[in-house]
Amino acid sequence: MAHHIELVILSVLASCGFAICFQIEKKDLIFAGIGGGLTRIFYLIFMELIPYRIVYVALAAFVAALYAEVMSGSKHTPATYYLYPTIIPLIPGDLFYYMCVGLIGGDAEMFRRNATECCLALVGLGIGFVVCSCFSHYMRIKKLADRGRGYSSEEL
Amino acid sequence: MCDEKQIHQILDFAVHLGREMLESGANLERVSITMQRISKCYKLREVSMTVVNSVLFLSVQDDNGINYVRQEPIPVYGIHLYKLKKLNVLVHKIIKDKPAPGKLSDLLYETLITPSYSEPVQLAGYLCAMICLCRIFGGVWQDMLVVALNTTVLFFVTRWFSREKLNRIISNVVSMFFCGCTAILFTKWSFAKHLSAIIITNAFYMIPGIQMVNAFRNIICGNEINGIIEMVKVLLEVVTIVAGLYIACLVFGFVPTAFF
Repeated sequence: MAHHIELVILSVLASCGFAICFQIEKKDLIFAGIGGGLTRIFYLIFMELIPYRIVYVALAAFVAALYAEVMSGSKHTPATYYLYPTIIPLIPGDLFYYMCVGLIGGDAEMFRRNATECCLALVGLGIGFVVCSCFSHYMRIKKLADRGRGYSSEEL
Repeated sequence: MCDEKQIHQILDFAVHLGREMLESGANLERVSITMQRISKCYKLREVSMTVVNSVLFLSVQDDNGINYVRQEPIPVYGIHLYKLKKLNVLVHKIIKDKPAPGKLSDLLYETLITPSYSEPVQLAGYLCAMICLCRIFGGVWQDMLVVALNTTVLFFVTRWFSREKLNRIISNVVSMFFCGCTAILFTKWSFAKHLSAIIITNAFYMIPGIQMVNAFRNIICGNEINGIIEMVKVLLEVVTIVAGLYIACLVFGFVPTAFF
């Protein structure tokens, strides 16, 4: 448990650090950090519950994208603004790196194992983002319909 | 209805805006939707936008059925989220107020004057992120110190390479060679404890992680060509990073795959 708490705190700080590098406004840094922490929490929970990498990464990516959508809706910013620092805990940079080490070092087993894991993680990330953007698109339509007015593609 | 001169002004603005958005980290769908919204707000028809590798194309049609086309190179894909936020505000303002096409360029130039964090603050951001990642990858405080040293050197070296417009392959190999040498030396002197944690963290500084995720997202979202091209670019970049480490390992007589 203590290790998981440490991971969450480190993810918050790492996301804040990357948010500075990505030139996010000072007042939004804390929200970027919270996004990173939230993503790590859900990633750890889903990892405990689900044995398939593609599924737990997709679910964690969905949570990250949903957080970015909610924040962008409330602060009138593009979703990307909060998404990039939020997804830092999910980027499979280490797997991609090991894959290339296996490729260059001629270790076929290392290459195969990490390439598979890396592809599963990337596909999971992509699916999570796409499902979330479909979901938020539908929610916007519903919101406009509830207000009793039609909508045009420009409003979406 | 816009006359020919105004259509040219709108197109110039739209492609410049699209380029700035891509250079600030926007994804392709967002840029495509934005350019279409701008064009449609000025009653232009048959709006079509394509981004292939590093070139952006936009074509529109006026009421007389005459087509107008613009092509804009996109030299660098980067990330500047505050600039992206300001561009987003500008787009909303234009769609709401519909200013005269002649004023669009001035509005864009005003928006592009965006403050950035100073170099020491950016370095502090990188140090914070990298030290945390090193701990996540299992490093101890000695490893974190080596990572901090490497990150500081990488920060200034990559900026210098970028200013000198040095070939990306060479700069990646040189940077990772330096990181590899430092990490191996500190491990040999028994100061650093986990060589792999140092190496992976430093590689994370250079691996274009966001571009990698965006590439896959593009493939899934139907922009397959762009996604594949971006993925190949990322793969090449990571291969050059690993090549730098490989050379460092050979210099010090290490088997590169052994310590992972």
